[in-house]
Amino acid sequence: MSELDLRLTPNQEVILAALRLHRRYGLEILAAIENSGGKQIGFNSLYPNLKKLEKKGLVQSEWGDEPAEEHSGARRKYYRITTAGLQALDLKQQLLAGVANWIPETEGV
Amino acid sequence: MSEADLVLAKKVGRIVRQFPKEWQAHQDWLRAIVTSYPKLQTQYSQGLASLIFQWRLLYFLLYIFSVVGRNRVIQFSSRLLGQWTDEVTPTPEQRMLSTQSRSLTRPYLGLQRLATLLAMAGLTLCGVAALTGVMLAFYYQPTAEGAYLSLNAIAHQIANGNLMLSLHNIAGNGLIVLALVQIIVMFLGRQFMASWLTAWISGICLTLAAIGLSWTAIILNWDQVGFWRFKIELSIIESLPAGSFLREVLAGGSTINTLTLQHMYTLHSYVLAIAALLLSTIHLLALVTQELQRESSRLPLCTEEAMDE
Repeated sequence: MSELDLRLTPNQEVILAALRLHRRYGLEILAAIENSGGKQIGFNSLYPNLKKLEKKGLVQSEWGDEPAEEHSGARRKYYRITTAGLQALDLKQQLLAGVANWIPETEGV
Repeated sequence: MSEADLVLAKKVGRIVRQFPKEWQAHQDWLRAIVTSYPKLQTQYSQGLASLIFQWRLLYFLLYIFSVVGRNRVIQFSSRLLGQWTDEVTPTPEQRMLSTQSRSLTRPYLGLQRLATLLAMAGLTLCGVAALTGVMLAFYYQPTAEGAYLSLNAIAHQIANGNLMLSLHNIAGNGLIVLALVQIIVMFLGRQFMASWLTAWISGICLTLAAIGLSWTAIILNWDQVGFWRFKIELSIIESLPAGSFLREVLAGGSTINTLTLQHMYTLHSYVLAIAALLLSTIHLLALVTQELQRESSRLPLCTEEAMDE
């Protein structure tokens, strides 16, 4: 997989981070971010971002066991991070560490 | 929970279920909208909560429609061009490697092939317009008196003159339509490579040249409609910054006379016509290069934008 696929936007990064240890459904991701004191992701941008991550192969979804919601008849989906997703997160961490450790080369005195 | 809002959610669900594929992919979003309603009510007043709920439903619906529309366009174009796209789909090994991106790649191949075909059609129209333009120029006189009379003669007295005139008009207008459609097709099949960018920029310039050709032609008839339309539009141009200079270049003076006609004729048949021919050739070559590059590399593309929101 090329590096291009592993690039994340800030929102996608925080969504992936929320999925790192547990499989979660959409609202649970929002709650996880909110309760950890993070900047909340807009409700309307959560699902499009999840779809994009799924397309890129960074997360995969599976149907939940819960019955369909009574009014809309919609079922719940759980999202799980993939190996590529973990890689993308690690890459981001490495970047941050790299930025923190960078020191300018001393120029000739 | 307000009953009306729930009915609304039910309706939205029913609408989206008309598109089974999109419903499968996105129904959890609708569920989240409905199940997060009670939480909204605890945070906001009833009116505001209801408003936010409706906004979320509307956004969801718009998003689904955009997805459906996009899929349909892609489906249509790849069905239209199915037999050609089959040649360039990845080999089985690549399919194994990239099952994820294959579904993404295929429609783009169709769109890019469509863009090449449209560019071919554009060049053909340019050629037709140039050829008939040369034929018209044999008899056309770019003078105030002569323009109307000579066009009249072309239309009524000269053998096949009317045919040439109509072909010239149709080709010119067709080129504008085609160039505009081409912009949309190229946008949908976008791919950030040098060949694509060349084709994109030359395509936009071609569109402008085609519109410019049509604009410089309005006075060439030397009839009432053309004359007054030109007069009005010239005064609009004059009100722009550096407008008097532009007017001087376009009209060759403060009045509309033979000199104006000669200026417009020169712009129309030398400057813009040659520019359009060159641009449509560059456009086609760039798109053909794009296809050749892809075919030689035979790699699955990554056309999804990295940035979103």
